[in-house]
Amino acid sequence: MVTPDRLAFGAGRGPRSLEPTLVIRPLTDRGVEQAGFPVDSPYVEGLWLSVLGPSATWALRRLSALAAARPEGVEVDLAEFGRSLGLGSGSGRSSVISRSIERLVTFGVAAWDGDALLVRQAVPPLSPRQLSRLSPALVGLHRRLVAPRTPEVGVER
Amino acid sequence: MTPSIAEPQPGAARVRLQEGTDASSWLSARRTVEAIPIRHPVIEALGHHPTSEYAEQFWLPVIGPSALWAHRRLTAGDRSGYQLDLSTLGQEIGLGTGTGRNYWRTTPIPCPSNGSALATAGEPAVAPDAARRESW
Repeated sequence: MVTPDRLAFGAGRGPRSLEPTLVIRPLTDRGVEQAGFPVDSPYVEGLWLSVLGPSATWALRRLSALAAARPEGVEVDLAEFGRSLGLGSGSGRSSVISRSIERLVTFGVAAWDGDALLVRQAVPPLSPRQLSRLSPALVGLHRRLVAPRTPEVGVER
Repeated sequence: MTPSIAEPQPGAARVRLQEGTDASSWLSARRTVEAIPIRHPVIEALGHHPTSEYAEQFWLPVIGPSALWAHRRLTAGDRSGYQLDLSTLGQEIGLGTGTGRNYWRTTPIPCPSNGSALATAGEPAVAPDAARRESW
């Protein structure tokens, strides 16, 4: 099991050159999985989408599903993965798919473990700082979705 | 079977997109548009909703990530039609609040050339075959 405490989240790191293929594994975080939201939940589509952006949010859903299906690790062809998301076949450092993956790391929903990318199966509620940048309608949606829970977790980036 | 576009809600501004008009220019000239469902009985019977697995697997690579998120948002609104704030839509799907011409050039959303407003399919909204990319 890989836990978050020894992983490289993205703060302070620039885009890295990715290999043509990428090994994906799940990032297990019991706290977030208990208090957070699955990556295919309305919370992610409603709230995290506005933070991560459209390409990174699709990438998160796909990579998380792949990691859940093959927890021992699965190799993903980056160019093919980008095409499957409608991002073209580029996979260089400045390609949309590379920047989307780096964005997942920057916001703490994925992390590098060496050359493998670990992807969360669930995400935490947005932090107060992230919420402060959203529209009143989205803040209201956050309150409605979080209300039945006790959000004691948050990954601020 | 001919698809139909519902009438805008009473009192809504009738903003017409003339045939041949660049959709990104048309969109950048306004802050809100009327979103109206396109009713197409055949597609609604045989097609797939934009929130479906089919749309994610097969339409996403065709229309791209921003357009599919936008379509999901558009079809979640009032099915009798509604005023859509373009800046809000952009912010909610993670594209920021800009509504300039270049913004909409890279954010294709449903905008049929004969539409009286921004029209979007109502129920199951994408055809089984991934055709007509040009209308998005």
